[in-house]
Amino acid sequence: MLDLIIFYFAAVIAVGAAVMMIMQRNPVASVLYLVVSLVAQAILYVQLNALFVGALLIIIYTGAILVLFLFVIMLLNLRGEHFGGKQSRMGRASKIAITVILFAEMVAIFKQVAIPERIGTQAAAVAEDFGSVEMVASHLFKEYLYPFELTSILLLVAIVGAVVLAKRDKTEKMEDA
Amino acid sequence: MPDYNLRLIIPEIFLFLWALFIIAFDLGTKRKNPKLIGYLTMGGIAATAVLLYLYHGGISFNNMFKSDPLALFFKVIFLGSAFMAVGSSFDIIAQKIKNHRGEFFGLVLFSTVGMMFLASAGELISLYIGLELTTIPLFILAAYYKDDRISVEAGLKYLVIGAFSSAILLYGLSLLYGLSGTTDIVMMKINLALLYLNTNGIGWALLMAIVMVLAGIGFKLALVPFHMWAPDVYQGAPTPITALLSVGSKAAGVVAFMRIFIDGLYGFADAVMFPLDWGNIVAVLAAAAMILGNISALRQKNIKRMLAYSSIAQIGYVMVGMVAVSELGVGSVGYYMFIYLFANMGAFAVATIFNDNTGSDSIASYAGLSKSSPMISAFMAIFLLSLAGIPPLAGFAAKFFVFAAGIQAGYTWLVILALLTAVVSLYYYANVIKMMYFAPDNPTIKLNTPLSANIVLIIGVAGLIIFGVYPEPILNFALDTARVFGF
Amino acid sequence: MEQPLYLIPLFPLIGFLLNGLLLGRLGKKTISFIACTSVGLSFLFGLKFFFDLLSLPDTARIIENVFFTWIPAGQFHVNVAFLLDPLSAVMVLVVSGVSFIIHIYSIGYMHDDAGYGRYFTYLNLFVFSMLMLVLADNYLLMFVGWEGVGLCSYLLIGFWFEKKSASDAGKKAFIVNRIGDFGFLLGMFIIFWQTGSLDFKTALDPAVAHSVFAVGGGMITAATLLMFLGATGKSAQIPLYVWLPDAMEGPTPVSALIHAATMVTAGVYMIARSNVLYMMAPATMAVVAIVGVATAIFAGSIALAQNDIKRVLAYSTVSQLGYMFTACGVAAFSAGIFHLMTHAFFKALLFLGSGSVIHAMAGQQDMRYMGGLKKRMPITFWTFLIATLAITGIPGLSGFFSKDEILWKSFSSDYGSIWIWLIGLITAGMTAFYMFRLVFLTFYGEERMDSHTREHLHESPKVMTVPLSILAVLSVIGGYVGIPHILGGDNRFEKFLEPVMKGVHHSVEGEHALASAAHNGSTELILMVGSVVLVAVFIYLAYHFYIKNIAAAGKLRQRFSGLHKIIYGKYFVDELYNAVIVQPLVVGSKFLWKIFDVLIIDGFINGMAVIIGDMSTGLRPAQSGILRTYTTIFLVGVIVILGIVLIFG
Repeated sequence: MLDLIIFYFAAVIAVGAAVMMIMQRNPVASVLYLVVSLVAQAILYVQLNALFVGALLIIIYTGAILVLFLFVIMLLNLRGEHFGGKQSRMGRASKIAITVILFAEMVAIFKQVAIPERIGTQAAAVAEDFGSVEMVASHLFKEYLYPFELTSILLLVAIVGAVVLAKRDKTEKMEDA
Repeated sequence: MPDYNLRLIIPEIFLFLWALFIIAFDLGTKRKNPKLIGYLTMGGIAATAVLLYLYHGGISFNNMFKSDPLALFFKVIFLGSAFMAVGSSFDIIAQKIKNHRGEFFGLVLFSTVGMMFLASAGELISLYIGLELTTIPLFILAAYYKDDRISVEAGLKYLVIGAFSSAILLYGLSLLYGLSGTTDIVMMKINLALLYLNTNGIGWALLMAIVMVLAGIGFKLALVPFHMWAPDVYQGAPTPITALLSVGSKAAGVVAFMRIFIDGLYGFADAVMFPLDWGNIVAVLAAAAMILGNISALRQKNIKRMLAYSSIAQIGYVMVGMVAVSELGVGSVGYYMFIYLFANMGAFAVATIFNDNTGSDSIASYAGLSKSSPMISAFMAIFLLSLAGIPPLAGFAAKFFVFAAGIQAGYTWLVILALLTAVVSLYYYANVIKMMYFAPDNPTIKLNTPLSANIVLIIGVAGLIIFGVYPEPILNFALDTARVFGF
Repeated sequence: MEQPLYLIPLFPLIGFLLNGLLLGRLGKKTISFIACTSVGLSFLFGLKFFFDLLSLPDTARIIENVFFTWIPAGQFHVNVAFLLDPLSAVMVLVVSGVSFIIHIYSIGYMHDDAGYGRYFTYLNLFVFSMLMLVLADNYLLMFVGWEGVGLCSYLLIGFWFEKKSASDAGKKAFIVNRIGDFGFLLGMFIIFWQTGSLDFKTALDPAVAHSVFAVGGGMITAATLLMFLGATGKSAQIPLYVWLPDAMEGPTPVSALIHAATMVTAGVYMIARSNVLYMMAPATMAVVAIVGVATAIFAGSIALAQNDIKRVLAYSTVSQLGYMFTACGVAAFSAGIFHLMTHAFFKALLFLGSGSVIHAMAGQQDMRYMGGLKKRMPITFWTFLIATLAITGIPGLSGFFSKDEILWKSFSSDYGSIWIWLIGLITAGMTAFYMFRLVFLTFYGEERMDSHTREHLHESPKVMTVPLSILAVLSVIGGYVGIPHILGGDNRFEKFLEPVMKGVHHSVEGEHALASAAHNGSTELILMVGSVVLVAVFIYLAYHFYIKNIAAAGKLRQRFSGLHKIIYGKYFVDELYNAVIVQPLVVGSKFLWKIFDVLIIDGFINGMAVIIGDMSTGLRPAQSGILRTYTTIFLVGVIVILGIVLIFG
């Protein structure tokens, strides 16, 4: 019962904060709402016995990435008006309408599904050490080594790309003779 | 300890390392040798093809990496499109990109590596990462003219919509995982079938997943209604990158589609879910793509935009074969993409050359090209006629196969529509030819082509004529890929 | 029997490649030498194989040549293979022979043209494609040739593209033909779907056809109707005939070769080839016959009032093609092919003759500014007159035999009716009238051209008049291969084609055709005499109006000015098509563009913003405005699909 209460509490905060985040015009406030949402999500992970993932979410996302975001925003001194003019009321209304319709459709669809107790053939009792660091590590480096390594390539590519885009072009001095 | 079987992954590893080497080499030589790195890149792609020939056939990483005929076939298309894109970008590199030349080629190779991983993916996570690895370099490449607002806009649009579609795709994939309890595509097929038999109403959740995944991959394919980005991005990106986007990246989408839908969701293509099978849904989208793409292309004045709409329409034709979900269907889709490689890369190569020489992309400026550059005009005419499906060029055989597959599978209405829209398409393709041949002379045109671009054009024309007259080898190869799905 | 049939189309291909690749690097003599020799060789090889074919016994007259397997995939077995049977042999000889003559003629006609090399390159490509079309042993390969000739026709109509009308005409031909091709392809798909093959040998085997199709069934009717749609496109029948009169913008030899003698007859060939299927679809046969005869009288009546010499001939061609289709529609396929052959001779001659006239008149095509050319250009005049007599069906000339055969069959055949015959007869009268009107206006009367042109009037050079003479001879004797029984002949032509027309003999057990001819001998003779008399009357009328009493023609025109306006305006069909089909497409395209490019992309939502007055959004860089719209539409797409799923689920 308590579990359920915590779940709904965290879930409402996670979704609500995410909505607030995109509604903000002030980027700093936006980031702070994201922090709230991520913390709530971390709670959900912990509830699911995925302690390690929950911890990662807090340490990496809220701890590192979002702090970086804040730095960037403050360094560039970005304010709301940098993100385009205010939307018209019609535009806003149409977007809200779209969101509501999509949500309604999803509800309509999932209402027709009877969620089964057990899923697939693999669903077994939750392992003893589920969610532990060892367990995650052994999955990541044995079974899922391949996608894990692919991710590293992806990161490298992202770095190269970031450098290319961010670096200011030198003028004609570098021009070949 | 699982069997990693690294031997099979050698071509990808080589190409990845080669990309790093190109970047390092360009830095090391102080970026003085744009031509040399270009040829090195082309050589690397060719070497990868050789390695692919030496090391293929089998599975590794616990079925996550499949080196099956399907993967092999599409990897050839990817390598071909990268080769032709690199080959036609020499002038751009020399004239418009002063810095980061090595990175340009490096990123093309990275994207190609991503496509190759994607084609081999046997499970959803690596498929998704392969997809991202394909797309992220293309975001950057699309925005490569940093001084050109249109190019930067193109990159940005592509990035944002790409990220957006990724989110939707991931949502769909997570639904699939949630329903089947596995990310392995073959296991997923079995589990979903069991689940469907045992559980009431689960079809609805599946439909949700199908629509979401369709939207995510539809972005890569530029399938209507997920195509909005394509014309702008195609127009803004450097032309060889546009070509890569329209062929390589699109073929990557096709193979991802095949892996997920024809393999993983095989059982839900027709009978079980009728009329809400994914075959019907996709058929409707294909019809929309053919109508919208062709009719919008009619009034385009910019050749890249015209080709963008044409490629939106072309993917509609591809989907006619796809929804057949049969041996001929899969084979015809493969064949279509293979031929599309030659025709579209060739057409974009001509557009690149033309732009390099005249700085213009407008169709009207092609007036009288046949007088000053008869060879290139003839080539362009061949590319366009093949895209339009005029025999004996290979484009005709390609269209013929997908339509036959569609008829065979009972999608008669779709094939009739496809034929009708193909009639319309001829109008805008012929319009360019009319400009080149039947318009007054334009003395300002004098096209000089670098050797590499000539190689690209000759490969394109030779491919269209040879495989049009003698499609047997490619067709057999393509039909062979259907074995992967047990047809 | 296996023979290297590929030798027939090979040489024009070589000629095309040589002239095409070395374009601009060869002298005029070399170009024409390559082009003419290659077609000449085709003709010679065609003759050789024709005699090989004749040496075989009647029932086994088939020469095959499997070149290689084109499409090998499983049930999709399509060969690049050639088939020479009596039907294709006739076509090969007509095509290569007439092409050769016209190639020679072109040397003189095109002599001063800047696009000399280009012209012969296209022409050789055309001959190659046309030979592919008639030699193909399956529908798919036939379609390749079909598209090839269409492409050449497009290129050659727009040959003088400096004239806007020429490039427009090329475009029109291209598009109209694509509509027909769509039908052909679809029909082909149905045949493949049902019979599992596109080979003539299998798909057109009466046994196979009868085992998969029900006689008169929906599937066979659909397939044959769709293929007939293809034929109406290529062979300029109602409703797709509109491109042919405009096609006269091309050089005159091209009009003679492609738009009179060969390409436009491809539809007739295709239907005759598919006679097995057509005979199984009586409804389609009726449609073919009605469309054919309607086109014949419709186009014939338009020809009555045209003043452009080539346009008269163009409508005449449409009308004569209508005859051929009528023949096919009444199950007289051999008669259709017979008329195809004789028509190739005399219509080519008429066009070349008119080319000679235009050449002499320095490009003038309006007959109102001609006249009295008889003395100035005797060879042209006499050959032209022979062709005119042939087309009007004066006894003894080729046109008489073939046209009469068609008229008789449309009267006597089970598929025919007296109405078809009657319309055909009236058309024959019209033909006599407009042809002699043309002759009288052009060659007789006073010289109405300006003095400058008159001074330069001259007979054409030998290289042009010799081809005219050859064709004149053919126009006279061409009919003697098919003298009907009633006139003491034994219709060798029909007998020769008999093995190919399996459909006809399958359905009437091989007796009907001969029997009816014998039974109704006297009727046939009466009808024949009747038609000759009618033709003579109409020739006299033309004489009356255009030689004897010139004022009468003007009076008549005034009296029926409304009718004349309609006919002169070609019944305003072009305008109708423009209003009903072209304009809506253009408007639709614009509309879609407005909707998708402007309204949605540039902003359904932005547009709203602009209306409300928030201009800044529209003017800002993409990230603020348009991109939002794109993502919105992406989501709308998802929502719509989900919505459809929910509605239909």
